[in-house]
Amino acid sequence: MNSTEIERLIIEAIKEVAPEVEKNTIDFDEDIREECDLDSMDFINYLAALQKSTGIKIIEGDYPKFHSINSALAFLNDKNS
Amino acid sequence: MKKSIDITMPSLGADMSEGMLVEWLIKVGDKVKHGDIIAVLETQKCAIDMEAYHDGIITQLLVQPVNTVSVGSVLARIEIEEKSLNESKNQSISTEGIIKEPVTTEQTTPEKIIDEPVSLLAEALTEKPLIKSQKKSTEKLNINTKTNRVLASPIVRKIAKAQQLDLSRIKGSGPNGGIILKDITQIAPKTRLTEGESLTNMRSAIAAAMTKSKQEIPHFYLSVDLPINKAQQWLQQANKDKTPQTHILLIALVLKAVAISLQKYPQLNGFYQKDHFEPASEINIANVISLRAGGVVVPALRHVEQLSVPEIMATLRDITRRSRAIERGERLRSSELMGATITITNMGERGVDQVFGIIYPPQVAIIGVGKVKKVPQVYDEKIDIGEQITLCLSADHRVVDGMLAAKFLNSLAKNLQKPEQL
Repeated sequence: MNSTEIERLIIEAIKEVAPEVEKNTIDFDEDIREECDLDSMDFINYLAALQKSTGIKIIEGDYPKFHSINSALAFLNDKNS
Repeated sequence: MKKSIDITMPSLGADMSEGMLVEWLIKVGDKVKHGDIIAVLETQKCAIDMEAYHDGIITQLLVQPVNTVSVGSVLARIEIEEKSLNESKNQSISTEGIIKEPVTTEQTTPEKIIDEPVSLLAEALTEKPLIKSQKKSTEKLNINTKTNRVLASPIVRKIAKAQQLDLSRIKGSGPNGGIILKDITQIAPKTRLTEGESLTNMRSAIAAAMTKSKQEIPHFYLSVDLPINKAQQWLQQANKDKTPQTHILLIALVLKAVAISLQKYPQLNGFYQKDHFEPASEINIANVISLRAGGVVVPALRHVEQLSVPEIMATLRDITRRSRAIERGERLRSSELMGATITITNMGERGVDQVFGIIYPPQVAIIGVGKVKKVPQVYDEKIDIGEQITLCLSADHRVVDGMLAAKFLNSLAKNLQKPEQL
């Protein structure tokens, strides 16, 4: 997986819980919950979808690293390298 | 001995008065088992998988898709062994939602067999004829039967065929450009509801049900501020090193605590109908789930008293995901929208301190959950910072008095102080 592929999987995982969200309307540096209007259950489902598609294990202590899309990208790129 | 049973348009909530049969997934002569998906329905809110509630053989399909019929209308008939019916009786509300007593009909004398309290309200809300004919499309698009190469679900293909739509000329918004139900509703002429109309209908349905509830049910309200430090500590420990699939949220603990307290106070778990209260034999807790496009669905977790906290969380996560992702073709099952014995509405996620809900008839109570907030708490004459939520109870005064409601809330509060015992 390269960085572009990981970004695509992140957007797909967001669309799993928020199908109407468009990539170009999200600020990649902002809080993903606010940007995409996710509640706690949506956030858990977003992470579950992301773990499944990337194959990278995400545990509770990692959750803060998924604050924004860019922070998630950095974390997943690091785990993938 | 064989008996003929009517399969009717189910009532999937107090605000449902009619539903659209979109597709049969069975044909006459098919053997079906309890729980099999036999049809796809579309309500004013979303598409639903309709399940069979008996083992048997389908003998008649009386309504053809795509047609809208009132709740309670007979859609089909199934022939079952009487033994199977007896089993159904023993299952009480676990099969048909809120069946009081299944009634059989002779094959030549079809009668309504489901005595379902939710449908009583739904029927009262409408005076529409049982079957509305599907309007013929007047705005035909180019007829083209070469749709095999187009990515579309069987339902979409069926509707497209009925409405003579050319799928190859429709831009799909589903995965890999697949055509989904929403795409069809957006381009089809007045035979189908547009998204805007659908939302308006959902609001109308909610408005009718809630107005009736507020006018007929004498609501009263109690609330309690509840320290949740122990629950939060327990969750922190339980979630340590857990993956998202097994992560537990506070609401799962609240649901379990509610179920335990309802076993002690069954007067809040059941139905008020025909001027008397009937306690339910199982605890099915409906959860108000807001839809992203507006409106709500209220699917129920069944037998919560028998589920562990992780099981409750897994079920809640699954139904929330399916409720909010209808565009992907995933659907709630009819059994998930029937048989709720009490409702919980969790507005804490939206920053609300407290919520006093409107009761979903024929239930007699709804519990509101507010947000987690940090507050000064007094322990051993010392002030410390702790976390608390406000739990609210709206109850039907025809069934419950303030004293009993207060005892229930206190019991709930106590249960949440011992999360390890839930």
